[in-house]
Amino acid sequence: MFLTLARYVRSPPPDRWWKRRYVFNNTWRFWGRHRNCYKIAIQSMQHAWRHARRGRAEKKRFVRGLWIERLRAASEEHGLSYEHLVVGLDMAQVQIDRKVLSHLAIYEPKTFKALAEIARISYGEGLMAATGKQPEGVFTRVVHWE
Amino acid sequence: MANHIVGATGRTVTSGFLKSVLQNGVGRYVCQLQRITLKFCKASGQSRGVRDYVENHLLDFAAVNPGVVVYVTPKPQIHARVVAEYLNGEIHTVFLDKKSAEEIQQHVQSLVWRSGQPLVRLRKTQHTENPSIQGQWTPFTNRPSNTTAALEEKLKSLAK
Repeated sequence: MFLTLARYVRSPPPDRWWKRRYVFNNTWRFWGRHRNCYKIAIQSMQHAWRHARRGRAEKKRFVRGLWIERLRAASEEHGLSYEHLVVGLDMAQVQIDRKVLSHLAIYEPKTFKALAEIARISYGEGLMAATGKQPEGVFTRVVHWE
Repeated sequence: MANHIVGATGRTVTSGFLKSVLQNGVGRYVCQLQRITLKFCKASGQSRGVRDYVENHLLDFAAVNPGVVVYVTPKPQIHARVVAEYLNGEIHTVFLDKKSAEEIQQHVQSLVWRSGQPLVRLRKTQHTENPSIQGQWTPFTNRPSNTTAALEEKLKSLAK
């Protein structure tokens, strides 16, 4: 923006050596010219940062999928499907998340067995409330929702 | 960036697990900070906080932490900093330009509380030697043993 001629003098650009040093500090472990030549290195660096940003979001999705896979295996061992487990626990107002549930399934198998039972009973009661049919192996019980 | 942590392959170590130095604190606690060196300028305005700290708070700190050796090295035209050296050889520098004496106290105290482990992103914020109390899952955990299976069959046949 032109205010006065004196102020219109452009500020100097950043020091070239330091600007390139910043890039090379990020690319020192890359291959060949990608670590030594600035024009190539800056592209590699931006590429790597884009990958890292995408990877951070992807990692969260991947890890959640891993928990679900583990819970599927663990609940099948107790004769329950993953969907029944999750819906049953939700109906029983057990708000343990998939991360902790999968940890329990690995390290505290008896606790997980008890939780699977809770889910089984609760799911059965939910079905009964919806369809009116009493499922096998579940005794009738009135559940009060708060 | 943590590229100063480099192994033989040149791979960076930017993340790690929580660990203590030889289970420090389980028995006796040994302060991992070996010495701190306060470097500052006697004349510049940016070192004012450090000078204030040296005059008023440093002796109290030294009395409270007898295991830490304190060096004070004034030098002209230097950026004010504290250099902490740990028992495992790690050297950590905190620049103290334009900081007040209270802020410097907090920085120095956080250096005392640190172990000398490198500062990396923690993959897990907990560590335990005994993760399982009920016994870690094995493929045999939820399967009945041979004796149990035989017993169940016998009970079934008896019930019939």
